[in-house]
Amino acid sequence: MSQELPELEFDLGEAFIRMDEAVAETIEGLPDFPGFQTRTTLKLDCPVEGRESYEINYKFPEHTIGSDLVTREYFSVLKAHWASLGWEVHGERDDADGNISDIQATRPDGVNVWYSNLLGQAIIHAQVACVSPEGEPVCGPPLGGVTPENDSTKDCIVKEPEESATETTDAIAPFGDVQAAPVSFPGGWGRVTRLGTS
Amino acid sequence: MSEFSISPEHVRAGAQALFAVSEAIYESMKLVADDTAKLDGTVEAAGFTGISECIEASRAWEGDCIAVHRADIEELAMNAAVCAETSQEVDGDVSSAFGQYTDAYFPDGRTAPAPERPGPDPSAQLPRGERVAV
Amino acid sequence: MTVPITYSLLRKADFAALEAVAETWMNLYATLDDQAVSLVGLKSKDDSAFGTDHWEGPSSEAARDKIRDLVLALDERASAARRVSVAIAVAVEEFKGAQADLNEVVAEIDRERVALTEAGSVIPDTSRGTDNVSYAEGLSSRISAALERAAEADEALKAAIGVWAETFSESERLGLVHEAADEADELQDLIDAGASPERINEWWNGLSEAERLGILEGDPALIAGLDGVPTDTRDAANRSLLEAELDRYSPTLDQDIADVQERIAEIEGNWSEIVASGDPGESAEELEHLRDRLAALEDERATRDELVNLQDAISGQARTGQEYFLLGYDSAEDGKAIVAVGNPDTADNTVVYVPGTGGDLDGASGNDLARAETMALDASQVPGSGETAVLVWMDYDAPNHPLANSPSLSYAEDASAPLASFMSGLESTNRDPEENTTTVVGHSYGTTVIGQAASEHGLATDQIVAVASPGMTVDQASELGIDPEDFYATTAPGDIIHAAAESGRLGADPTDTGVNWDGRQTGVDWDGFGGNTFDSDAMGSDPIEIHSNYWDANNPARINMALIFTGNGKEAT
Repeated sequence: MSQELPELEFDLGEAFIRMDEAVAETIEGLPDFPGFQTRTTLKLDCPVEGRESYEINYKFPEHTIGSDLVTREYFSVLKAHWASLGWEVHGERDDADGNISDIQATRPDGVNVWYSNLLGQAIIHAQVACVSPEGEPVCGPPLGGVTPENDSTKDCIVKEPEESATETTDAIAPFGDVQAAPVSFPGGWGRVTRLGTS
Repeated sequence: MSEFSISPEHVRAGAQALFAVSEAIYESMKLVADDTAKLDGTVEAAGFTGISECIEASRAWEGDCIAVHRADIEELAMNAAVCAETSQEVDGDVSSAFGQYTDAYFPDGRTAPAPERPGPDPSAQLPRGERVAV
Repeated sequence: MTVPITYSLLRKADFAALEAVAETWMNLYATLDDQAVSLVGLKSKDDSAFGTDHWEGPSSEAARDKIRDLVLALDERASAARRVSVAIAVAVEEFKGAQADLNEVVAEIDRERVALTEAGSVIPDTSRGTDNVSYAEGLSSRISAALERAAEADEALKAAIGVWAETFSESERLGLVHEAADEADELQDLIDAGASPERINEWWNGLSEAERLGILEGDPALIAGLDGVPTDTRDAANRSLLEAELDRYSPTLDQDIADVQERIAEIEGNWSEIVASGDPGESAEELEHLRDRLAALEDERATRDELVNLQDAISGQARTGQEYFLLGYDSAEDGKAIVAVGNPDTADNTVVYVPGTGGDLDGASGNDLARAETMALDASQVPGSGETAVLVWMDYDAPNHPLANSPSLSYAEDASAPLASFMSGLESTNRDPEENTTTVVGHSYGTTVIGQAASEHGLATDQIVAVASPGMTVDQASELGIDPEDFYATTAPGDIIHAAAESGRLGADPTDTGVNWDGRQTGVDWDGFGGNTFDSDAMGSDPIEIHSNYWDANNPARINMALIFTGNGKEAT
């Protein structure tokens, strides 16, 4: 189950945007997506000198704790959804009762997404391992309706998308051949803009 | 020592962010001061020494501690703004030259008043109860 | 000195406005904290608004220095605002409690037997005998107790505001310190007599708030590292000492180093001319002296920078939204520090993380602190777990090169008593130790320290977790002074530590279940270390990197530890 992450083609300046983007692509495939309660960033261990690892951690709302939707259905949905996006699905683990509790997928650019059921609490972790610490670590507004008081982003600077950027896809596609695409969120969370691989 | 170089738009944005910080602190301090002012003159403030100390604290922070922080922040903002607007290296005391750029930074006027450092009178800067020897 | 509160005042006092003021101070705290974070963002990276990518030259350096000063100032001010808010809130609660006590007495009074004056005096009706006298005395005593309670709360509030909001004049501050001088001496006597953390805590709780603040103001070093003193107070003492220590560094230190380097370069650059002149002795002597001085100054700068890093690391809030608490630090040699993410005195779960080899002051404010935050966040996501405080206990001299040189047991032996004392102190300061789940978790040589302390002194902990252990100085979990069912261990496949663990030099391998791969017992007299093992992933193929990967991005060890720390160890896999 060991997963060696590929060499990253981006630096810290893009890391948080990419992680949020991977989460956006993930939740796009989730039926009846209930939104998120919190977003938290973490700095993690990286054994490579001069590099840094980070995580964005999204917690599902309390009312979903223990529901079939997040503890069962989403596992099978994500397995298929991630595979359909061309991501490498891995890290499937069971809990003490033999029910699936973890599943992960790595996007071709190296961003890893981990969906976890922690005693009924669903969490999505998006992670980049050992990124070059160059660039201003910008992150966009949180996904899934996280309110500002529940958005803990010590490792990145939250910037609202430019007015024009929300209007045109070209303006928010800073990553070479990566193209922007709008994602609509169920449950009235409105529209956010994500970057998708073309 | 590195050579001077500047990206005016970034430094300008930084200066604007500093003014926003000062403003946020002002608003929050004002809430403390306004609510504490309601205690002033009450029987509770007259009878409880701790409550009267709270009134003292609010006054000291509003007029001194927080005012100094805001003045420091805005002085840095003004120096940065002058650097950004002139694209020139300046020394650490050019805040007075900021006046000519004020409109660009506060196009609709300030929402929080400019901070005032405590007065130069030495006795005014001494904590309550202390006296200057004469 | 307590100022009396009158009966009529307490009867009619309304504390709603004061309660609202407490909230505004808490709001101010949050604002100052948030704005300090905003300021950090202006210079945190090269391409931040005031980063080197966008602004270079002396003025930019001055601006970045100024921002650091402002951040520290706002952080300190935020902390003071929080303490002011808490002090007011505590006082309001006490005032209301005293008022309720008083109202209760008044409501109970039998007006047929006694009369109550407007000043609160209780006058017995003695016209029909003396029975009412003792009744009146009982009522008077309860009224006095209520008034005394309010007066003590008032005195505590005044002292707290005076200290935290710095409204006290120097003479008032010295008065507070003077009033607590006898208590400070008493505390020193207790320390000299080797009082246990429980005894220290009991004694501390018997002081008035003004006396506690007097000791804190007068002699922070006395309590900064004293087990049994509440976390919040230790934090204030340590921050005060850290600030004072940093202030002692010469403001021209960096320039002094640059000047010496310049002079050395000058002499070295002219060396051939100096030699040609025929008498290089004096220059050689100067050069040697300069090199010694440079080395000393650079050491000084390194220590200062470590302390600056520590101060920066504990400013603001943790990623989990919890506060940082500094429970001890020492800048000597490699440096030591005890840093908490969240307040262990009030948390529902407490985790004490003991780092392994290579641990030092830098780690306690860097990588090890990041691990603590990861553990705190992971634990916070376990449903119904409440708050988990995670502490980095780096209060021992850790071996520096563990993997190359098999570390001596002496480091663990030296760390054993301090760790045991610290854990006892935490137990005594916790508001509800019966309900709190406490776990000591070690990594690598940190597990050896835990094993030594647990077997030698016993540890005040509910659970022990060993991550990548080379051995815990014992052969079985039952020797650790806890129920083996509350012991958990993991070592990832391929971890270089397997070799050390299998050697048995530091005790048996804690992950040894005593069962071979084929399900058979490994030995006739050996049924394994005992306790539980849980999964962790190698996360790579380099045995040395695997040893440090347990808190890595997607290591399942994180989930398992979160379950254990929150009392759900049975769910760990």
